[in-house]
Amino acid sequence: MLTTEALFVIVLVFSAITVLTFLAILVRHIVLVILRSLRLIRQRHFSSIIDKTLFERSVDKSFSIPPIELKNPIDAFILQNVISRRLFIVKGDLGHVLTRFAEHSGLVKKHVRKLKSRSKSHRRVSTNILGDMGSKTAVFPLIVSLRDPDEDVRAISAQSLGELKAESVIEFIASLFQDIDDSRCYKVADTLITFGEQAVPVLAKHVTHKERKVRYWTTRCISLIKPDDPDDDYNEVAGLLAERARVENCHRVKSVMSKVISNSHRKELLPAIMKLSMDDGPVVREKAAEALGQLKNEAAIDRLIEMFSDPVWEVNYAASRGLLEFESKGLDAVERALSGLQGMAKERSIEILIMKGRMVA
Amino acid sequence: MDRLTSIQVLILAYFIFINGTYTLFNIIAFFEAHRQMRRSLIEDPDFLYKSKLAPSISMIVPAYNEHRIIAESVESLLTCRYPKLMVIVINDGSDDDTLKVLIDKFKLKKVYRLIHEDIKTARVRGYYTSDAASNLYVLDKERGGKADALNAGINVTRSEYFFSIDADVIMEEDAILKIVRPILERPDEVIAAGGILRIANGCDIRRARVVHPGLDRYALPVLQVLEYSRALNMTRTALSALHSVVLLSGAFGVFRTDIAREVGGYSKGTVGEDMEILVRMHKYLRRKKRKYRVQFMTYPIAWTEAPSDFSNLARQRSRWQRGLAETLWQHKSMLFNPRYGHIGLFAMPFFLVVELIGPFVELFGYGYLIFLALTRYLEVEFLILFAILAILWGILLTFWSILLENVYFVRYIKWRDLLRLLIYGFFENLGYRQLTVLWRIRGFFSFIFRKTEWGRMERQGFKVRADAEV
Repeated sequence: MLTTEALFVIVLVFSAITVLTFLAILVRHIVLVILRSLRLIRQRHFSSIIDKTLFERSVDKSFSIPPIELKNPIDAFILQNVISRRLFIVKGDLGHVLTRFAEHSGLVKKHVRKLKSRSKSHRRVSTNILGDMGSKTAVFPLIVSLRDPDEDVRAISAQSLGELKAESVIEFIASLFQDIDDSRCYKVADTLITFGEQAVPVLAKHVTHKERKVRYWTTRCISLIKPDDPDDDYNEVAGLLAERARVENCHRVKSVMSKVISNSHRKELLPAIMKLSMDDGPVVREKAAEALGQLKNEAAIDRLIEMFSDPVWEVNYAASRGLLEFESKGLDAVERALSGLQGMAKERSIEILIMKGRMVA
Repeated sequence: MDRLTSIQVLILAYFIFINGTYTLFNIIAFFEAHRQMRRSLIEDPDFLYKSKLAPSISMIVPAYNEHRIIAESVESLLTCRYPKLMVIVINDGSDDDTLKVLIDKFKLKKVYRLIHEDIKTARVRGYYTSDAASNLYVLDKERGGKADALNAGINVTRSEYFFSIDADVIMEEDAILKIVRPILERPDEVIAAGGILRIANGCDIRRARVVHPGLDRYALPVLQVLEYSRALNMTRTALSALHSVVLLSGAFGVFRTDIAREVGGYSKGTVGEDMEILVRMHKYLRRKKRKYRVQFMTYPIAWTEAPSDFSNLARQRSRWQRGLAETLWQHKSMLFNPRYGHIGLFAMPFFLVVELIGPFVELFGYGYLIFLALTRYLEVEFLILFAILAILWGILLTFWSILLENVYFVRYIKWRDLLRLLIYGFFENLGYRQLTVLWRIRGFFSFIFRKTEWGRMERQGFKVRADAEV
C-alpha cells in the first residue's frame, strides 16, 4: 500500500504543479494586460489617422493616404480590425478609402503571401481577411485558392470572392458544389445568392446534375434569388424544373423546386406545383402549398382548401397562408366550402375567416 | 487484506478515478477550446447575419411571476442579432403582473390563432401579437410548470429551431449567430447546440447587455463562477470533444423543433427537463438509427443570474441533483447499453458514477478519514497528507479552469477579479465544496421520497446602471 513517504512526495509534486499553474495564470494575465494596453494605444493611433482621412475625403475629393507603419505583427492585426469594423458600416467611396489603407499599409500583400503558407489555418484566416478588406488585387490569388487542397480554404475563397463582387468567377464558384463537403456548401450558396440574377444562368447548368447534393444546392440558390421581374433565364430554369419535378426522386431537392417555379410567376406551370402538392413528403407538400399561394393562379384555390385537411399541420397551416394570398377571392371560396368541411379543414377555415374579420371569434 | 484495508483501497481507487477523470477532461478541454477558437477565427458573424440560408429560430421564454425582469429580458432578446428570430413568451399562469407588464410595454393585442396540440399542455387562455415588435408573441396559459410552458411554446412555434431561454438570461449580441454555425453546416444532423453560460451577478449591464463583466462583491456568486467554469464549461467542453453531450444548459440551448415534437416535448415528471429531453432525443434517434449530432460550443456566451444566498443556492443544487437522478432512472435502460453507443457506454455511466454517486462517496470518505484518525488505524501524518492531496488536486483543477478561461475565453480582465478568483479557488475546497455535497445528497433523497420541491429562485433582477444611455 501507499506509504506516508510516497504520499509526501506526491503531495510535493502536486504542490509544485499548483504553484506553477498559479504563476502561469499570473504571467498570462500580465501578458494579456500588456497586449491589451498596447492594442488600445495602437488602435487609437490607427483609428485617428483613418477617421481623419475619411473625414477629409468626405469634404474634399482630393486627398492622399497617409503612410501607416506596421511596427510588429500585432500592428497588422489591429489595423486589420480597425479597417474591417469600419468597412462593415462604411460603403461606397469611403469604403474604397479604407481598402486603399489596407493596400498601402502592406496588409493585403501580407495576406496574399500567406495564401501560399503551408499552414492551412493561416491560409483560412488570410482568405477570410482578404474578402473583408475589399481589395480587387486579391481577386486573382483568391481564384487560385479555389483549388486549394483544403476544403475550408476553397469555401472561404468563394465567400471572399463574393464579397469582392468578382462576377467573372461565378462559374468557378458554382462548380465548387461538386468538390466540397455538404457542410461547407452553405458558404458557397450564400455567395452565389449575393450575385443575384447574374448567377442564375450558371446555376441552371447544374440543376440536372447527377449528384443530389449539387442539384439541391443549385436549386436552393435559385429559389432564394427572387427577382421582381423574372428574366428569360429565370423563366427558362423554372420551366426546366417544372419538367424535372415529374422525375425527381429526392425530397430535399423537390422541397426547393416549387419555390423557383412560383418565383417565375409563370401561371402555366401550375400543374408542376400541383403535382408536388400531392407528394408523399410533408416538407415538399408544405413548400408546394406556399408556392401555390405565391403563384396566384386561381385554379389552385380548390387544391389549397383540400390541403386544409392534410394530416400534417405544417402543411395545412401553409395551405391556409397560401390561400390568404388570393385575398377576397380565397376567402369567398372558403366561405362557400365551409359547410362541407370537417375536422382540421373546418378549423383552419374558421381561423382564417376570424383573422380576416369575416367571422367573430 | 482485512475489511478496513479493502474500504481504503476502494476509496482511494474512487478518489483517483474521479480526480483523474476531471484531470483528463481538463486536458481534453484545452485541446477542444483551442480547436474551437481557431474555428471561430474564420467564422464571420456578419456573413451569417446576412445569410439567406439561416434557419428560423424561436426563443421560448417561460415566465412565471417574473414581472420584475420580464420586460428587460424580452428587450434583450429582441435586440439579439439574428435575421430570422421570433421571441415567444409563455406566461405560465403568473399570479403577478407579468402579463400586464408585457401588454403595456410591448403594446400587445389578443388575436385568434389555431394552436396544434402536438404535445398536450395546460389550457391556453390567449395568444398575443405585438404592435411594438413584429417578431414578439406572447402565449397566456394556465399554470402547468416550466416543462408545460416550454411544450406550449413548441406547439406554437413555426421555426425550425427553438431556444429554451430563462427569463433571467442575457445573451451576448452575436451569441445566436455563433451558435447557429453548426446548424448551417449540417442542418439535417444537428439536433441540438449549446453555448457557455456565465454568471451575470456583479457585471455592469447596460441596455440589457453585459458591457463589463465583473465579479459580485459577495462570495457565493464568485464561488459559482468557479463552479460554472470548472464543472459545467470545462466538463461540457471535454464531453463535446468526446461526442458525449447529454446536457445543454436549459437556459441556453437550441433544439430542432421537429425532433422535440417527435419525442413528445419536455417531460413534466422531472425537475431536470433540460437534461431529460436531450437524453430522450439521444435514445429516440439511436433507436431509429438516425445520424445526428449534439454540439456544445465554447464561444457563444449567455449570462444568467445566480443565487446569491444559501437557501436559494441549496434549493437549486438539490433540484439539479434530483433532476439528474430522475433522468438516469427514467432512462436506466440506456446505461452500459452498447445499443446507445458513446451515450450508453460513457456519458450516462459518467453521470451516474461521478455526478450521482460522487457526493455519497465523498461524504463517506470524510467520515472514514475521521474514523481512521480517531481509531489510530492509520498514521495521523498519512491522513493529513491525504487530505492535503485531495484539497490540492481540487485547487489544481480549479486553477487549470481559470487558466483555460484566461487563455481562450478572457472575460475578467481586472486584476482584482483575477486575484479574487484565485483566492476563492484556493478556499473553495474548505467548506463550500462540502456544503454542495450535502445539498446534492438532499436532492437525491428528495428524488427517492418523491418530495415535490420546485426550488423556485427569488430573483433580484439585474443591477442595471442608471446611466443607461451609452
